[in-house]
Amino acid sequence: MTTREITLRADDITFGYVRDRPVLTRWSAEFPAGRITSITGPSGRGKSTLLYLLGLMVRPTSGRVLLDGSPVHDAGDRTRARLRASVFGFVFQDAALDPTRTVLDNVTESALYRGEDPRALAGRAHSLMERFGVAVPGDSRPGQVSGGQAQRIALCRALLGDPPLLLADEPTGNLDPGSARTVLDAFVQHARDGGTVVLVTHDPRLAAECDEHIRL
Amino acid sequence: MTSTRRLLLAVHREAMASARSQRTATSLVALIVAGMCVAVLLTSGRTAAAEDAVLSHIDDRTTRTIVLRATGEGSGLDTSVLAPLGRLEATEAVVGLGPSQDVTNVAIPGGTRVAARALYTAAPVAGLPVTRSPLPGSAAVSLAASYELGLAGRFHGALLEPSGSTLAVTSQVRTPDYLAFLEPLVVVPERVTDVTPLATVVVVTRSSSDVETVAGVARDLAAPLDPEHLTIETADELGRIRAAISGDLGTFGRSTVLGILAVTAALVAVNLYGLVLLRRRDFGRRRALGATRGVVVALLLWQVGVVAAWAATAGTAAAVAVLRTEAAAPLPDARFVVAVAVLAVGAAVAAAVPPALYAASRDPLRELRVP
Repeated sequence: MTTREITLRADDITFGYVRDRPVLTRWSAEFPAGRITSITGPSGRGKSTLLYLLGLMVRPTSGRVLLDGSPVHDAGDRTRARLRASVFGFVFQDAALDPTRTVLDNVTESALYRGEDPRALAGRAHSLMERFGVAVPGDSRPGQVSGGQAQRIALCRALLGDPPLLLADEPTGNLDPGSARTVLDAFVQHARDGGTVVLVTHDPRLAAECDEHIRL
Repeated sequence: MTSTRRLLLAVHREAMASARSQRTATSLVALIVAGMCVAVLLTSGRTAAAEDAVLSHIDDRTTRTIVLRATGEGSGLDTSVLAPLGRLEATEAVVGLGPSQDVTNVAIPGGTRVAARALYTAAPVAGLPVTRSPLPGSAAVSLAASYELGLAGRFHGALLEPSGSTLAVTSQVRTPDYLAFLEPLVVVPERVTDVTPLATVVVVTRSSSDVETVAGVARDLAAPLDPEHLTIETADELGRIRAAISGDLGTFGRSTVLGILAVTAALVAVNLYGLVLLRRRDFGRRRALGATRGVVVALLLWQVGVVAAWAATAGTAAAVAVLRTEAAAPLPDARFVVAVAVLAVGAAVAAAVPPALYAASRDPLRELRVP
């Protein structure tokens, strides 16, 4: 499958949770299509914050976030939400699944926000779950699967809409080496298909497999 | 199916799945809304039904009746007022009665005397004999008059007038409510040919609110030379009682409904605020995955709306069932019942708006970021 190619760029961005104490200061980088970029560094340097900034979940204090050269950081809430649903795929640090819904519901959830019928994507969801070894019974809940399986379910959710941009925060943190390999292979495949992949990780083996490296 | 309909169906399914997965909050909303319907229907519903029944009873012509009486010469009350009064749109019936004279049963010399009156009508009146072409010397009696006169409930016989002439009883009078004050009633139907003095004119208006106007018109038509010899009686007191009942019970009912609605809305809002606070991470995730604020609000409002609609239906059915088991309890009007259910759903949805807006404003960064 070929993924739409989009280049993601952070241009001179500054952001802080507290005024006068920026986590990132005038930071710039480009994340080209077809490449996997790792972001590493000690805790508290703003790796996850950078991911949320790139994913349009928060606006930078100053500077710009650009998709294929077009600034999107200051777009309206509705536009940024639509971009998050249709252009980005997210893998959060702790999977962030809804424990009250079935695994299948979790995987297909974001389809609704793209204006698609989640039921229509059940087939693709099942094939992704089989590919990543989490083909659990349809009525299973996240509480009935392991942490590693939950992370792979979150990866299925992120890949369901075949997003051009895939952002992952410590995606292999809870995985055994075999599962981590499967997940890494998925990122590599996504990049080879033209996708842009950005990973925040503490895992040097995962970082070593990436095409580009950024250390904060 | 169009893509919009497919999407709306998907939103509905998502909202229902959320409702099923949040059993405690869903059950509480359903209980609150159903409880509101039961409480309103068993309190204000009963009051409204009782008010309707009382007002309907009062309205049963008694408050709509005007009685004009000639108490002496120059009253102006004669048959010429009947036709103009009968043509008024506000008039339901007009009956003119001549001076009374006592009659007795020919077959019972010295028997009970009953007042007989000449009867004039401008148009046919339910229960009374037609006066267009009466048989000369014929009379109609009510059931009560039949027994008083010794006719034993029959409607044929002969009556003796004070002048010595006789009247043949040929038909029955089914006395309307507004002529009940004349019982036992014996009438001699007369055709209106020329102007004949009347002792009493009874006018029934279509609405109690028309009484004052029609009474004024009747007074103008009679144009009494001596106003003191024309009395006009209306059910003013009943009208005032009607207004008081309508006002007092209506105000009480509205206050009770508004009070219960406010409590319902507050409980639903508190319940949903609790839900949103407990599940703010869930709403943060939805926002992170691309849900617009509008989608988050729509999901929550639709979820509450559908649950409230089911609960209102169940609560209303339960309340009506309870009211039906009480033989003495009148059922409120169907429009009142439907209005209560619609108000309950509306109150629940309105109360859900602030928590839904709060849920939609959850910041993904704050809710999802692991410290």
